[in-house]
Amino acid sequence: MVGIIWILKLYFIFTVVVMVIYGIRHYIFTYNRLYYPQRKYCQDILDTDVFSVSVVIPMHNEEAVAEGVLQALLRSDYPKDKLEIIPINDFSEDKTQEILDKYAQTDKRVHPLHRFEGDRGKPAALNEAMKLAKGEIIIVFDADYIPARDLVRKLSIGFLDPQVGAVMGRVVPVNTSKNILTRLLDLERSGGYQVDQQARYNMDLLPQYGGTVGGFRKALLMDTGSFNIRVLAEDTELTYRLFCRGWKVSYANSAECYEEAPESWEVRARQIQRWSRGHNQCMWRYFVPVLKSTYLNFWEKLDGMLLLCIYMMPVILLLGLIDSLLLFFMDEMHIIAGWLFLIFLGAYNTFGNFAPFFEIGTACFLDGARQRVFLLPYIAFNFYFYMWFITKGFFQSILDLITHRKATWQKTARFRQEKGGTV
Amino acid sequence: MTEMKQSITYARTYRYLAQSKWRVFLTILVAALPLSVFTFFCYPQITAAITEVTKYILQGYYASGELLANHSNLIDMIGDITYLSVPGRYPTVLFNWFNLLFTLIALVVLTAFVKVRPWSIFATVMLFVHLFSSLFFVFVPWLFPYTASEYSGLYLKQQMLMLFFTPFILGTSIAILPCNIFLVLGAVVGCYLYFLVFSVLRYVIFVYVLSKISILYMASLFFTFGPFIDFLYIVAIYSLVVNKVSKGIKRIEAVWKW
Repeated sequence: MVGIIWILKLYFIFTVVVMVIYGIRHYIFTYNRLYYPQRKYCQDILDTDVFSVSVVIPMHNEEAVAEGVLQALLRSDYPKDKLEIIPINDFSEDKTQEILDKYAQTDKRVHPLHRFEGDRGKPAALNEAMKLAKGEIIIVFDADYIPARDLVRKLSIGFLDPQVGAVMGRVVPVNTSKNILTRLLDLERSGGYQVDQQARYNMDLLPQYGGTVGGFRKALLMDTGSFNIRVLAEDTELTYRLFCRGWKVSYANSAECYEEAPESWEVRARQIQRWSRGHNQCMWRYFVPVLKSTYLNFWEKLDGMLLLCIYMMPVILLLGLIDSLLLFFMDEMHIIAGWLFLIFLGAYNTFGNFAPFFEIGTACFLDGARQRVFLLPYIAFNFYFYMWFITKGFFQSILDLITHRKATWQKTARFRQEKGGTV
Repeated sequence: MTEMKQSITYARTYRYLAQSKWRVFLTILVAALPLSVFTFFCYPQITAAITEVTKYILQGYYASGELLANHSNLIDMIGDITYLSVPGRYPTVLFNWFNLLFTLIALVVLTAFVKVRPWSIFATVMLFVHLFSSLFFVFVPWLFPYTASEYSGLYLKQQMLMLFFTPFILGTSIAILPCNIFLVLGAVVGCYLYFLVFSVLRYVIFVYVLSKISILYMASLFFTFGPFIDFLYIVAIYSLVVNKVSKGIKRIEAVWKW
């Protein structure tokens, strides 16, 4: 019994320490973003000798949004002879195929890829598209995105830096005013990109390639192996693959693109569960390689590890809640005697918990957003929602690890009514 | 696309604050630290006052001598905290079974018939806490380790820790924004007073529930209405201030650098 109590107490201390580390990380990123000169992306470089670019758009039953993204891309100011657009019709059963063929007939830059056999899902679709793509640079958009005219140029110009293996732009929800969920997602995206990604870029750490509104060098992907079809988070996998081989990921805060955020909690639940499962698959895969990498310095490794484990935090906290409950009923809440520990616990309760809100509040402030910041307290309830579904995704990733089963890709449902796309 | 947002301009993308770090440091020193220091040195008096007020509010519901002020050690060199010593009400077997049954039904209804929403998951987690407590009291009630008085002392210790950190955390978060020192001071003092009033109100409810209804609810009170609730209004006050500062500097270019 004494042994069990000690294990429970040690786990409690572990939870507090981990949360304090993540809290400090939030504060450092926020202060850096708010108070220090920002590292600018090279969007102002004008170059006539541009890269040849293949824009790839995986689609599965995307008739509601397919026209929007194609119209937006066809309005791009990128030189026509250097741009090809490959919309991938991945086993669609709706009118996606007809829409893509219609656009292919009217514009020779559009080269649709229709897939009705082989493995399903985004990584498999991207692999097949790589065989067709002629561009030196691959830029990926999800089907619900509406890129601005200059976005392809902004993203591709980042590859002028020979150290850069991938570039990531900023995602901004377009349907923010739809309901409370889309407003909250707007807050989260704001914190994630305006503060988190930019601070990571400022500090020369590990900005993440997010799988959409971003690109990578085709040759680099082909040299290091194609996308792993067993991994649901091909974007995280590529990020770590690049960093572990000495490449950099550039973050372009000025390269904004509009996305359609999920409008129903059910869709968001499935999305976050899939992200958790995929991200944790990468965590199991890259935990040791990041630690061993000779290309990363101490701070990059630390940031890389914290980012890798980010989808494990809700699981640690859920177990921490169960742990606290057991300690409470065992009369063992005085984990360590003495007021110093109480003060430490108080600091964790206040500073640790406040840190993510501080980051999002700061992002809203930098964006000049005034009304939406009132929703900050509601995010605390969101935390329980995420804790539940991220935990489910985490345990699925453990099953994936043990059984080597193939994960089934689940597409995020779309909500858009009209078909056009303008920026 | 009538819902399309106006694009965020380049100017917002890479801007950062042009404030003097010394000004921020001084603001924290003047507006945030004093109340934390005050709490640190005066928690014996603060807890004594909270206890007195709570006792005054509740005295009509208790017999003479039932509500007593008690003391517990916190920091030797500063002094003890004062808390209310109250008789706890232990649940009957029937009451325990009723709670167990009710919680199980609520959990089934919540998971089977209610759509998944943040509040429903929050409620589910909290019902699990209560389910655990109900099971404990149904099967091993004699092992329950706390009295209502012990919980009363624990609550005030926890509140004093939160009261110590709240001015500092809120003050530093607001002081870094380009705003008047009086706004920082106002927000910190306002939050502090709100905290004190809310602490008393919650203390009154906790003491009443544990002594007049049942100590079966102790775990739920601790896990559901503990620091989580304090935390929500700190965030709410912070968001109010961010909104006000954003509005105030909307057209003032000098606060930014690029």
